[in-house]
Amino acid sequence: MGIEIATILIIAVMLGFMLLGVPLAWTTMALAVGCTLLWLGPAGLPLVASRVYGFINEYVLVAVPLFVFMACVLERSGVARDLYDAMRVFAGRLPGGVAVQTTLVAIVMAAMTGIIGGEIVLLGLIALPQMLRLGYDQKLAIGTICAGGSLGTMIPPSVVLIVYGLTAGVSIGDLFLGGVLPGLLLAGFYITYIIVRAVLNPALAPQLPADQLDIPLAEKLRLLKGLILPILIIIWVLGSIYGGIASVTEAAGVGAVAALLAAAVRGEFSLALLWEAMQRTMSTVGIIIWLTLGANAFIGIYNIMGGTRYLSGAIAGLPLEPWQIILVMMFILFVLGMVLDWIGITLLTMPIFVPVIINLGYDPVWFGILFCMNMQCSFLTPPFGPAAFYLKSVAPPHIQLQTIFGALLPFIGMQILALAFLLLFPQLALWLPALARG
Amino acid sequence: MQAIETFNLWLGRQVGWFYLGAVVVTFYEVLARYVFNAPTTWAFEVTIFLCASGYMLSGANVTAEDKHIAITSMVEIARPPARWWMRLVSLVVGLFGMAGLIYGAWQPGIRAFKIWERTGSAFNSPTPALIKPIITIAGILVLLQLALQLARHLRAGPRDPGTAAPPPA
Repeated sequence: MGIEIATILIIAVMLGFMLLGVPLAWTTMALAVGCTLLWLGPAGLPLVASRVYGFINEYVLVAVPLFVFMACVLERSGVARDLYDAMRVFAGRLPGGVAVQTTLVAIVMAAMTGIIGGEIVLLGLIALPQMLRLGYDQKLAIGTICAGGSLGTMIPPSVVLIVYGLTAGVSIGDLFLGGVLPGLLLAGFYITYIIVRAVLNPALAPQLPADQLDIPLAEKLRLLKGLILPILIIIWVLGSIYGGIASVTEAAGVGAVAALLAAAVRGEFSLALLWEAMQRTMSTVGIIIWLTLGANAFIGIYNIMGGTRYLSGAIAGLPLEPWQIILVMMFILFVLGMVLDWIGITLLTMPIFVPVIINLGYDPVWFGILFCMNMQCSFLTPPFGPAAFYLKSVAPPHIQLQTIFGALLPFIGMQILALAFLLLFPQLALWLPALARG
Repeated sequence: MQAIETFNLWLGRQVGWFYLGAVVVTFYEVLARYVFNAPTTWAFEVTIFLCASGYMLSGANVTAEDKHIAITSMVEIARPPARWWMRLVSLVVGLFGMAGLIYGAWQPGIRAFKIWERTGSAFNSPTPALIKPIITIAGILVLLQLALQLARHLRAGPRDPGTAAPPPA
């Protein structure tokens, strides 16, 4: 069997299993095993195990449980709630004030954590009830929370960029820096959109009652105290990476301790909080890693079959300009993002795409940020849009999944716009890493 | 059979300690380097060992809780008998994948443990001798968990309304 036919069969089997609801972890592992058996016979199966062994031995991967643990502690503590109150001081009077406030909270939370999910749940619990109570347009409120909450993996630290860096062999420190400006640009789009909508139609976003707008100075200062801990944590984590003190993994460990300290300072630390954070870390990391085990094993076997080279060659051989090839890749990633999880996409496509990108003379850091921006869309696009599922789990029961996906459309549009900016102006991603290198 | 699930759930809960240990060790290493001026030789390998075993050993727990990421849009619109068949496919595909992993991990696992394989670094810890068999053991635990779920599933049969798919993770 030629590699062309094998590739088509593999894609067909993968799609079929996925549609039947087979967990991606099993689909990819079974494909890895199946391909090995057909191509190399049972004697090849130790390769599958050695791919698993090699992957779980990566030191950089340790940053994933550490960052997840950090996020779980922060989400359990009241840091986020105080942050939310503090942001009212800045955003309260703006048109669409509470939605802008929510986005600002999302940005700061994103700089503290590298995952999405917890953040969306948290905003869904804090911000959604308030916006609905004030009479905000349901769609605007939902979109703000899901899109804002997804910024967690765009603004450093980011688990998506860690896994990309691992797969593509790119410095994670550079990737983190590269993500800052595009992440802020995207957040800027969200804020602008909210304000424009609110100005055009004030009924969409009613103002806070006057007594909550006129905050006396003393009260303002008290509220602003809620910013101190988050800012300290951000400086602590990102500072230790870029101050050259710690590797990304170590910074994650240091950040986890900082999160525990923050909870202790606030008098919220308890064994129950610690235990709960440990359990959620175990579960979240278990889900992430088990998906990667199969995908990573499969791509290893596929590479041996010559598939990676075949597909890279097929893409590079397209009668297209280099920038058109990038567009094709972005389109493929966007479509995959509708049905696949970001980890699966990273491990399955990046070993094929990144060599092509480097051959074409593009910077893999820039491509990583493009990829990360593309994955922002994947969080929101139906039918498999994790952000929508997270919000659904805490939203009032009358809010249907269809309503949520409908509300996300304009935000997906803005993500595509930001992606276009990043395509046209690679400097958005490359300027900061270059600056840091001096 | 039920005992396997109880054990898998318990084991997964203990994995939390592995990650907490990784946090403590990583933090200690940074302290040791900058505050005590005496970087350790062991922190790196101990952290990797804790996390690698953690990833593997949490697999059966995630399986028992039905939390593995799947695309459930089709499952949700399917009728209960069709759902039963879809879940059957899931379980069989999972069993096949795990059986392959265990087959592949078996020999390397036993060999690494027998010769007490070490990393060959300055610390020269026996982590390969431990992690390689842990991959095999974790695979077996997931396999047993899936077998238990398959047995339950077959007993329930396609007419049972309880075979509805779990909600998306």
